[in-house]
Amino acid sequence: MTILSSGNSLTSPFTAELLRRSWLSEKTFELELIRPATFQFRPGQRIRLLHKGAERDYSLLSRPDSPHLGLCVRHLPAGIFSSILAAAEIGTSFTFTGPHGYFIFQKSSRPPVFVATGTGVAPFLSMTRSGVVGFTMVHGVRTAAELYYRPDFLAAASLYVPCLSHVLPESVLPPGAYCGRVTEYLRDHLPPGAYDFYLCGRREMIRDVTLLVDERFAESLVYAEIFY
Amino acid sequence: MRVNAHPTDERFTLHLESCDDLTLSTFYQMVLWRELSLARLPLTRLEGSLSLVKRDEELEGRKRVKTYVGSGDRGRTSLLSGERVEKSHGRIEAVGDVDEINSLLGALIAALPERQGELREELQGIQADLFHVGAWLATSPGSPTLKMLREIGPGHTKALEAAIDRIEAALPPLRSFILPGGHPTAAWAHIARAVCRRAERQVLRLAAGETAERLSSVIAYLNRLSDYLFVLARFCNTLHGIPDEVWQK
Repeated sequence: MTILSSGNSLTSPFTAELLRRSWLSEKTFELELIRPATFQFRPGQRIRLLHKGAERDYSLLSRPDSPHLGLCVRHLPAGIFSSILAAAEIGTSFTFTGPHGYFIFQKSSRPPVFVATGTGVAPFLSMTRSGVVGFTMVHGVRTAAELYYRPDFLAAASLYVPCLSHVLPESVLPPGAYCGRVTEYLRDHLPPGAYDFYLCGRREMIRDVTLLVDERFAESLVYAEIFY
Repeated sequence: MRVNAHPTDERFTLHLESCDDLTLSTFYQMVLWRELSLARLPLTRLEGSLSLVKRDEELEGRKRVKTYVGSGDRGRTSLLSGERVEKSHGRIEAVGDVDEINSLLGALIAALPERQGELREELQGIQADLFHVGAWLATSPGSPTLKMLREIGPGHTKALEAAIDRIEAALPPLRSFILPGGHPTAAWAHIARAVCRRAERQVLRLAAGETAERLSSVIAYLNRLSDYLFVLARFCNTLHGIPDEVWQK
């Protein structure tokens, strides 16, 4: 019997060796894997790491022409996969599939607004490193220590707004910081208009911002990448 | 070490005591780790409780498909090309029809006999293709997103034609209308066929509002898929020794 289709769009797995791990904060680290020569991706896409029956998706931080694949990982002590990645020896080989996803920057006449929470900045860093400039970047974190890759975004964005949700009286705020959630910033400070919103982060943020777009920025487009 | 976590109002209290039994719900594990993290308890005190986290996949900081987000609670949803539209929008109707075909194929596959592994694989290939059809339908004309999609082209339609020819060769000639039904797998195929025609009509409405002919391949594919599902229904009955039920005028 002839099989009609090529079947599911599962890509053949790749193998990549762990080159470097750098801690960005107490709980978050960046991994660099050696990019397999045949692996191609577009800024904003993600890979799916496979390990002993488990799989996790991580957005790539790197430029597509980089010899390395960067991942930004938040380490949770109870997280099986992030614990493996946090403890893996340099030189460990990881299997992955990809690239996955449609979270790609699209040129348009509308101003782009990137909204991220926590490590959700990862796809935006890949876009920025690939030459995307002139966007508004709103990064929601608990504390200033979690403002990963701030210099990159400051250099490329027309407006970079760190949104800190847990500000203590003794906290030293970075310049331009907003005390509150990203949704509150967008609601109170983003001028009315039509934008291209790119959302990456927790689903609560995706939900709240999307509903806000429906209410206040109805002519806008919304591209979303959801993660826990 | 045994851990009991009791929610009291909005706060949680932990009680640690010696015991080998380590059964905790994921919810309580989350509470536990949050509280221990806040209290900065030394990890050495937890050595006996590491099995607590083995089942825990909820805490992983990774992207995952969640069943619910809530951004569509007010009746709007996003196209793949980014526009926010009403859920009654024609594109969403078309995507929904294709999703319905896909689900019906799933029901058909589930009812197939074990020995029909190749047919199952063929149908799963069609299911995968239908995801790509859905992606096309969920993308507006002119969107840059179109460049990222896998095209449903004449090759897909040709492959369906080859499958139709192959299946028909194993069937008795058809000289009359037949009643949809027979074996449950055949009945699923007939329902999928009828929904496929509905999807085709909806896509035709969409295409009428577009200047480009980008949906022509999808229309041809759905047209041929309906034919495929018709012969498949007959084939499913033949597999089970059930003759076609001819329409008595």
